[in-house]
Amino acid sequence: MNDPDAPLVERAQRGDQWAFEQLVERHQHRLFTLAARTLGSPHDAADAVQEAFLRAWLALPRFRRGSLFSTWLYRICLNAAHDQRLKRRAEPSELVERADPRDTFAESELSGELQRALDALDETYRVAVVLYDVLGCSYAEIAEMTGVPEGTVKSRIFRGRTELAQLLGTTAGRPESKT
Amino acid sequence: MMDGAHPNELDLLAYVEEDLPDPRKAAVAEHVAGCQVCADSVGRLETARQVLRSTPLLEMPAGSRAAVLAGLPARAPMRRLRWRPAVVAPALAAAAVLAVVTGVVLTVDWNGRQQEEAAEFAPSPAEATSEADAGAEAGGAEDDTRALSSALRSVQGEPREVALYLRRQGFDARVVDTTVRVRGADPDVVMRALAGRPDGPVRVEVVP
Repeated sequence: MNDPDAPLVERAQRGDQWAFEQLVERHQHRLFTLAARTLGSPHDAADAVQEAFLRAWLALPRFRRGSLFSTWLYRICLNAAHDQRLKRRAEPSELVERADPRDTFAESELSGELQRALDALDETYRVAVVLYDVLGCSYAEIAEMTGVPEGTVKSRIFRGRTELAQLLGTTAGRPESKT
Repeated sequence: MMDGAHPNELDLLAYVEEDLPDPRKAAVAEHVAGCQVCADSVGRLETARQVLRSTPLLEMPAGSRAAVLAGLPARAPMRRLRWRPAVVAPALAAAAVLAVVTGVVLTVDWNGRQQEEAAEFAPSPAEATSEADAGAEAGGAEDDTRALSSALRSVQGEPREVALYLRRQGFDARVVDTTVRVRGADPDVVMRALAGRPDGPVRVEVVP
C-alpha cells in the first residue's frame, strides 16, 4: 500500500514532533471539516480535532502499515467527534459560545441550509455522505473507518443523499437563522 | 440485480456514480428513462451529490492548530528487543560459556526502539492494593542467580510494581536491587507484555 504519509509517519512514530506537525498541517482542514460537518459546531469540531490529534500522537507507535495513515486518523477523529457529541449532551452548560473571529467562515457555513439538512440526518448517513462526497474518500476507506461492509456504506450514501435532497427541497424557502 | 421491476438502491447509486459496467448501465438507463420513481431517485442522488461536492473545506482555526501542537505530551523513547539470530545466537552461546567459566553475569543490550503510548499502561489502584502481599514477596526476594541475562529494556515505575505486573502476566519475576529479573521466559513474550509501558529507570532482564 503506497501511503504518501509514510515517511512522516515513520519519523513521528520514533518521536519526531516536527514530522507530526507536518502531518497535522497536511490533514487539519479535512479533519476539521469532517468533525464540523458531523457535529454541526465549529467549537465542538475544534475540540474534537484537537482530541483526535492528541490521541493519534499517543497511539502512533501502534499504528501499523495495514491501512493508510489518513484512514486511521479519520477513524480516530470520528471517535473523538462521537465522544464530543456525548460530552455535549451531558454538559449542556458548555453551550456558551466562544467568540473567535477566525471562525467566521466556518460559522457561516455551518449555519446554512445544507448544515441544517445534514444535522437532520441519521448520524451514520451523515458520516457516510460527508466522507464520500465532501472529503472524497472511497467506499473501501469508509468501510474501514466505520467498521461496516462496503455494501452498507453504499446503502448509507444512497439513503443519506436521498434524505438530504428531500430535506433541501423542503427547506429551500426557509429563512436563514443562526442557532 | 433488480429488486422487483426497479433497480435496487446500490444499482442506482452505481449508475449515478458511473460505476456500472456497460451492459448493466444501459439496462438501468433504459429503465430510468421510462420510470418516474427511479428517475426521481436518481435526481435526488445527483442533487445531493452536487450540493455536497460543491461545499468547500472548512479551515481549522489557527488557534486550535496551535493548541494541538502545544498540547502534545512528550513520548519517551522505548527500547525493543529485536532478535537477530545470525548475530545474537553465537554471541549468546559464547557468553553462556564465559558465564559458566567465570561466574560473571553478562548483560546483553538490545538494539531497537519503539515509541509507545504513555497512557496505555495504567494499573488501577485496586489492582495495586489487592496485590500488596505478592508485592512484598516480589520486592523482598533477593535473586543471586549468576547466569546469562538479557537486558530487554528499562521501564517506568517502581521495581516492585513492575515485578508484580509481570507476575500477574504469569512470569516468574523478582526484584534484584533496581532490576526486575524474569526467569525462564521467552524474551519476546516478556517484551510484548511490557509493550505499553513508557521508558523509565527500572531495568528488566530475562534469565534462563
